[in-house]
Amino acid sequence: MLFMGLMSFGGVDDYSRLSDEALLKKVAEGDQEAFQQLYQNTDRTMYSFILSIIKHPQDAEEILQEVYLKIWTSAKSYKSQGKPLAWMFTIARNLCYMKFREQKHDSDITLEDLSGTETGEVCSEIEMAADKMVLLAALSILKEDEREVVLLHTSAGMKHREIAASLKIPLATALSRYNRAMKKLENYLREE
Amino acid sequence: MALDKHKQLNRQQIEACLKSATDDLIPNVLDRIDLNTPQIMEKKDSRPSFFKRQRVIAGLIAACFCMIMLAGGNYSFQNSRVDSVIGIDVNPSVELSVNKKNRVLKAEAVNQDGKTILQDMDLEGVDLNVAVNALIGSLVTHGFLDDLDNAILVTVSNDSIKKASSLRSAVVSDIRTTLGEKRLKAVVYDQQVIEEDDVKQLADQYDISYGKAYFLKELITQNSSLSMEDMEELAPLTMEEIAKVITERAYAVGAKTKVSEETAEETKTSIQTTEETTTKKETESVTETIPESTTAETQSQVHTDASGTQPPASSAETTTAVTSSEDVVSTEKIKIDYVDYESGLVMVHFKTKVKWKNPTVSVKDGDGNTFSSKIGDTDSDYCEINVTGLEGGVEYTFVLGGISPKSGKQTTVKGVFETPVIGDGVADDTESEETEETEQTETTSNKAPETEATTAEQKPVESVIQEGHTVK
Repeated sequence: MLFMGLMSFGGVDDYSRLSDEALLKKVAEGDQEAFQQLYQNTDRTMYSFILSIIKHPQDAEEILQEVYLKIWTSAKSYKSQGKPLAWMFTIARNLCYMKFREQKHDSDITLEDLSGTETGEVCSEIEMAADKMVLLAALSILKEDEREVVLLHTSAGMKHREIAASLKIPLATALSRYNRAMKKLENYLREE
Repeated sequence: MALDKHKQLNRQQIEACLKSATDDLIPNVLDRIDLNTPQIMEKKDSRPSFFKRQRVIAGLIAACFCMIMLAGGNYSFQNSRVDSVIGIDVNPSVELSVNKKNRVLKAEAVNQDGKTILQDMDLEGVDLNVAVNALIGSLVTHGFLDDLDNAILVTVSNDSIKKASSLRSAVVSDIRTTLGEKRLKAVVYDQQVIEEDDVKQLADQYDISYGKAYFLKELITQNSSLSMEDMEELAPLTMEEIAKVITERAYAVGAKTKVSEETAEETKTSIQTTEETTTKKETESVTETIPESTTAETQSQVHTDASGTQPPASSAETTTAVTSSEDVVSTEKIKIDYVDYESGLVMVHFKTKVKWKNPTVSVKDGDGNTFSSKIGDTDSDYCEINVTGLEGGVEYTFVLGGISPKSGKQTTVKGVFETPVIGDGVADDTESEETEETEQTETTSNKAPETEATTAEQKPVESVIQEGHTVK
């Protein structure tokens, strides 16, 4: 039993140590455990990214689910390039745009929804009023590419270098975009 | 209150707020993902999709290619399709197949002479007018066209009458120009035809060109005195000989055929419609050449005599030939002094000097039956005709061809003689004589023999018209 426990522990330990790239390969082979590990490694990042595009927490949740299902089913089509997140982002972005098309939602309308009827729901999930305020401000005043950089850095805790690689933009661009966005946000919040 | 708080927020705080807000929002959807969903074999899928795209591109390229091929093919098809066939018959028969743009696709010899003509000539791809020019040149070089007595038959076969007639006039004018350049004269018969199976059969049967077969068939249909049996006799003749036969016997040429004569003078267009003009032409030329002839003004008389019956002939029983009243009839240039008949030999004496070239003769009775006849001696004022199978006491008409006045155009001369009643020319007393009108070419003579009704029955001997004729 102890041995079994050790084995299983060791196995879990194995997965947690694996890179996303390696996990994705295992997922491609149908390894559910690897998938779970991949999910745990990336859910925060993916959610932040999706939210930065779709701006609607509920839609973001729905899409998050679709994205991971898509990752599971399409893992075999992933060609190892050392950038698994970039691939996953592409899936997420496509699904987000598809969602826009399906609902014929404009990003602005989504924002109105956010600050309007559904604000209550959004609020209910965020405990701190200040956090909610800042998030809504970020979602409303920033442009999509700025939102992506800000949320990936702040919420997902990604490094600027990682963000640049995953979004396939130069590091300098990622940095300046982040700084510009934060300055915008600061100014906005100061005025309010 | 909250706003005041926000005002003091610095970048770190904002970052923290965003982080905690997202933390609160972030859902756990892992449980909701159905991992039993089969994974798509994307790798395999991707390939076909790549191939699919390739296939689409390949399909498009193929379609483009097909379009080009089709357009090009259609173009070249149009160019390689035979639009019209132009037949040229002298004796050599040649057929030129041309496309829409009047370029020669094929030059084909119909008979052996045609092969000689086409020898060493590559007419394919050449413009029609150039080809016609070359053909005429070759005809001259090989001696099929000479200074006199030329006849060319041009046959244009095209489904469109308009196109055929324009082509026909173009070819005829080409020929005319070329002949003019070479200072040659020729009678040009031109016709436009539509392909008919029976004519084709006829052409095959007699091994002649389609154009010639059509021409002869038309000739036979137009002239009641001819039957399909004559085809056998006419088919092997050269166009020159056929033209001569037409001239001598004054056959009407098919209405579909035009005749033009390439001479220095005006051109005759259609035999049937140009009697007047031809006669006039001759009259003119004669008055020029033979001023002594006082009878130029008797042209109208000629006409009546020629077309009507010939009473003078019957009246002349006397052996003395020269009944001047009858001789008046004789036209301008060639005047027959008198005609003697003696045992199968007809002796014709002319008042005026004549020249001979390829003399021909035909002898007919009043019913139009033709008798075997042959030109014997010819002289500047005399000629002999050997004829067989004549009966006594009957009036006969003879037509001399290949004769021309001392200076003037070639023509035909017609005369009448009567055989003695007693025996077949045993007696010395020749009766016949008096002749009459020398008649100009085609014009009127056709009717004359028919109207010269004689009572006696003739033994119809198959007509051998041109025995004395030597070709060139």
